[in-house]
Amino acid sequence: MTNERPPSEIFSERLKAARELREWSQSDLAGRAKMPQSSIAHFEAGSRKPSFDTLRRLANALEVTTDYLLGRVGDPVLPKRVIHSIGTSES
Amino acid sequence: MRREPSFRLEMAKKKAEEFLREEGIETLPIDPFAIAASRDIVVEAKPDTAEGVSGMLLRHGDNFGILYATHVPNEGFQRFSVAHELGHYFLDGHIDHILPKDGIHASRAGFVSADPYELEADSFAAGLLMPTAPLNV
Repeated sequence: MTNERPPSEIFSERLKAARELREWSQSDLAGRAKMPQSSIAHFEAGSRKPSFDTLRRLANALEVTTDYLLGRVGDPVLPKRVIHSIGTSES
Repeated sequence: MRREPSFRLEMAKKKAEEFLREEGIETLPIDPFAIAASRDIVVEAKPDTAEGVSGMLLRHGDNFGILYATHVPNEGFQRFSVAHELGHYFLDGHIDHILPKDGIHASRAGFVSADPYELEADSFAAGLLMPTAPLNV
């Protein structure tokens, strides 16, 4: 835990990565997330830190998880869940 | 460079008032429960047992929840507790305060906190529940 970077710092990198993954410009993303393009620029440059509310809005617009934008998972989208498995290797 | 604490608190209050304007909420009383619901934040009363914690913000992946204490049987206290947690949700930069504790944040009422994040959340709650504009008639 000691040398961990603050979540907001990781967020600025991941936001840019996710936007480029979608091949969107900053204004494309701004339009979809309904916020000014300057906000996206500030978030990516790290000069503004997001709130949970903006984090969620951006994740929704990008169709990625908030965990991806926070650097907690490597995959941008939710894994397909195994709802229930019977008779697999557990026994 | 760190900004003046009083400036940050004023900004937190302004952020709450700006939020009300954007949402078109102009009449009192402000309902923090409805605001939480508008963001799909599940709000529930916490069982009476654990005293000392007045409110909690919880995150699980993309889902958020707020628990508020009921050991103080006062509606104003409970509304303020929920509004304080909304402050952590809506204020810029609070992710750095909440997330290192693994998505669970507990606020303790009655403590005089020197933590700037806690003070900001209190200012947000004050601005949300007692906004200047509707009171200025």
